[in-house]
Amino acid sequence: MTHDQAQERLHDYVDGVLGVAEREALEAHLAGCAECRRELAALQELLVRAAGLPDEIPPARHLWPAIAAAIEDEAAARRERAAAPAGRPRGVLRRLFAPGGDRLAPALAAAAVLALVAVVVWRALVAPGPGDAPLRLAERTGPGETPAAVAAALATLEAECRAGDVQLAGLARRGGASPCLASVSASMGEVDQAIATARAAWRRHPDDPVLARRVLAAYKAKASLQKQAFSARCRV
Amino acid sequence: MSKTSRLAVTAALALLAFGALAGPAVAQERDVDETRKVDADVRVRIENIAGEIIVRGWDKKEIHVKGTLGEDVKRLEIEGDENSMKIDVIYPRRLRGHTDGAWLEIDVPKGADVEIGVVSADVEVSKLENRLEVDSVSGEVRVAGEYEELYIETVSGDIDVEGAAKQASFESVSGDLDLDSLATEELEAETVSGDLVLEGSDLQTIEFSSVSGNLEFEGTIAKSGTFSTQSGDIDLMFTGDVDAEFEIETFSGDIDNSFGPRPRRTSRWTSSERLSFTEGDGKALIEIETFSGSVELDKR
Amino acid sequence: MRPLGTGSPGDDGATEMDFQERHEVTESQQGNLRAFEALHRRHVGRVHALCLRMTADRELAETLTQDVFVRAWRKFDSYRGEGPFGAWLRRLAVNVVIEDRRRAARTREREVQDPNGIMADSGAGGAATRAGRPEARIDLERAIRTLPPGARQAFVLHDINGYRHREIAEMTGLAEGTVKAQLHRARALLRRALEPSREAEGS
Repeated sequence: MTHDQAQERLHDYVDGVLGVAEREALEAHLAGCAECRRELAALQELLVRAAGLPDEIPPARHLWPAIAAAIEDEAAARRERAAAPAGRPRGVLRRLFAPGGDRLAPALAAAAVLALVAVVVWRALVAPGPGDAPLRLAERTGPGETPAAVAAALATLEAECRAGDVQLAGLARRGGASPCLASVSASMGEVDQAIATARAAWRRHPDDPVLARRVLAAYKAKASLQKQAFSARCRV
Repeated sequence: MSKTSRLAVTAALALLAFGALAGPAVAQERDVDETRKVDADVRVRIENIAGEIIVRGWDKKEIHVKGTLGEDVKRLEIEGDENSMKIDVIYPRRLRGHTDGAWLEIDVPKGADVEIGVVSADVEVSKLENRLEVDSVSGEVRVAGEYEELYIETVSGDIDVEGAAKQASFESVSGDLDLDSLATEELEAETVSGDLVLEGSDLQTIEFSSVSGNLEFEGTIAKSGTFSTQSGDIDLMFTGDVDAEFEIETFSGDIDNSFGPRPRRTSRWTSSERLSFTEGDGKALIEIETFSGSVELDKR
Repeated sequence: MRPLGTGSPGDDGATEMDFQERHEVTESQQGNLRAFEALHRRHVGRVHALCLRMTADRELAETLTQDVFVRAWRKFDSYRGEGPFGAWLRRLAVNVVIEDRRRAARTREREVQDPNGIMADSGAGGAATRAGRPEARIDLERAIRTLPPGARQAFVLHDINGYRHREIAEMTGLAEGTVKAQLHRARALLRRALEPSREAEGS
């Protein structure tokens, strides 16, 4: 190996990516070349110093407020696009504004927005300005909410619940039953029963918007229950 | 061997055997007593799995943690700075079966923003004035105070609240919610089978939904009440003057209305009933929808 | 003489998550913004360090750090728990920085080509968290800032953050050979920039 070749290969040598043959050739050269040995030492010292640089450099100012604001803005924009009237989502609805949509296959991500439409529309807690009359339930799922839209919202909620069931089954298999999961599973039976009952009635009276809301509510309860099961606190 | 030395050897062997049987040294219970200086509106996060957490507000700009860590507990971590503190009970990664947990009494500034996460530990909070969030699985939660925001979630533990909150939100799977003398602007509660009992409440808006949990309400509603259940019963007892518009629908449940107007059947083929009427000027809006639950309206 | 690094894993040795962090991640995935704030506190120092060293611009680094967390929240679903969250987050950060560079390629006039001198301190921001000889640290940080952007990027990603040549090539869209060349150039430049101080220390 020539001197110039050796100089070039020093970098790969310290990075441990030289092939066996080249490594041996380089080491042979190093044995007889003080200059290369100096170069190598300098290189190694640089890398030691680089490794010794601090892992963290806190920013000079507090960045969280702007981040939180940006996140809320995006969520607000999404909500507006979902054309839901009134109501800041709170409580359980916070959960449904999971970052990026739902946690399921990408195909359902956009559909989650539809689910949100149904949910927000029927659950939106009225917090209107002073003097506004509260929106009625019927108006919230009123003429703007066509049977097709309700059916679509229902389909996505159903899909979400089905996927959740699969995930839950996997959880139970892997982790065994924590007391929390046992509790949730017990209630799951009740919720499934409610869904079945509501659906049966709605099938017989498909034009009844109250029954439609009931079915959506039952699925929403199930989705909410599943999310409880997936929380870290439920695995203990 | 002499008798004494034989005794000594036997004793030594016995100790050795006992040591071997007893296995590695077990951790002991430890007491804790720590204080930290903090801001008046410090954010406090408390995490514990089992045992008990008692939080009380006080006037000092200090956090004081006092209590006992059970044998299973690895350690207590108290970290952070004046505006944000975390009090974390650390357990071994794999908790085998039951653990006694940790019992902690924590005094915090009454303006603190507190978040508590537990699994089976009971939680008791009092004298706080700012924001409180409690997340429990099976531990009981008892809260008193006057809050800006109050969020309590449980799976099967019961929730007991007394006081006031501008915004309050409760979620439960099967735990019951007992809200006493509660004054709120916005109240939201959702359960699967847990019951909600509200006594002596003055509410602006309330929204309650449940699958099979029952609602028992006593008090006043100034702006709107929205109640929705699958099979849970809804029992509203209004105190004081009632100025509200009522819209009630059930599919197969009964409606019992002591304000006078009677429900009418909405369909020839089903037992579904609908009731719409107005008391006073109809300022507030009360909407009730239930599938098979019964509805009872009373006034005192 | 033995080679120094043996190609450390491409996530700067982010440590395994403890119970608390896993909880924060799960909660964040379900939309709990306060849990996400905890994650932010946990990781902002490292994310910011990466942005700052790659951009050599304090204000930009802060802006990009914010962008990283906002994007992380938006794309949380793509974190599926393979590997520590910190590693995933830092990958995201690298992408954010690289994208920003591409976007501002023409209008960026903030780089200072100053291979020999030490330019005016634009601040390494805040207190660094590891002890060491302060003078040596500042020298090296400053020297890194004076590197031309391509070389700086390669050095920060490989020698500070531990990514491999191939990973850096993937992330930056450059050929692996180019990455290597940039890296070697950075090291050569840094050595020259640091030599005067080394002599001053009487080494």
